[in-house]
Amino acid sequence: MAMKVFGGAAFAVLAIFTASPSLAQNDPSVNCKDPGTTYEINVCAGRDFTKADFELNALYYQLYGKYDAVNRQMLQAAQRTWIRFRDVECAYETQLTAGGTIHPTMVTNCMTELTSDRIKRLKAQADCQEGDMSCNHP
Amino acid sequence: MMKNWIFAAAFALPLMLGAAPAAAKDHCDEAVSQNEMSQCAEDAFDRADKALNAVYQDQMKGLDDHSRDLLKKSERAWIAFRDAECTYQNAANEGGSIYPMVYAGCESTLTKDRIKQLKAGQN
Repeated sequence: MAMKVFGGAAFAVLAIFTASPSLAQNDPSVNCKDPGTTYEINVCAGRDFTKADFELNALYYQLYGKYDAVNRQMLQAAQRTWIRFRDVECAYETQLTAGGTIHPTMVTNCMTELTSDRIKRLKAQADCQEGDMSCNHP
Repeated sequence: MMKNWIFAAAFALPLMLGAAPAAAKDHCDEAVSQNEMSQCAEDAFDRADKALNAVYQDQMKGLDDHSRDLLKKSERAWIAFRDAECTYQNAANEGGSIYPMVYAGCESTLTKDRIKQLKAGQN
């Protein structure tokens, strides 16, 4: 029973990380060492994002696993507001290419960049030193 | 007599002007009580917030209605994120006297990053 409840909670958290800007990223025929077409560039941008998103996801669970219920809730709230911010910020930053074939790549690259920033910030929380007051270390 | 007064004023004025920012800086560099340090952190955030607002308003000016709407949405989402993130980062200090100082410090850091982000997006 306890396992089942935990499984449910884990699933609920996982559900917030479902962004997949480019399904074509799974196309194995694309070599990202030398992408040429817009399609290939898009596929490769998608792979970069998936990698960053996966890393962020792992970091999130690492922190989530360390916390009590209150801190988990705070982390979850911060992450949810960040995801919302990421999406609307990238819509704003890429507006000039909206409607163009390069647009999906621009959105994906923006999301990858913001994800990298987010990873840095959460890493600082994961690597908290004793006595650092700007850290969540329950 | 008059000459002396002008002489004194000519020296005193630059001294006073020069002394004001230095005194303000020293005040916060040497703040020792928690209240003082909290106040200094909140003042620093206030300055960063004003700087962000100026950058935001400046960008809004050059945009059409659609883009303004996008930027406004993004800024609101960022504010929600800032508050939730600083609440999270500061959780360990909850109920403690350093909470306001650490919270303001977190807000300042995020605000400075946001200023950089908005400026980079301007290109």
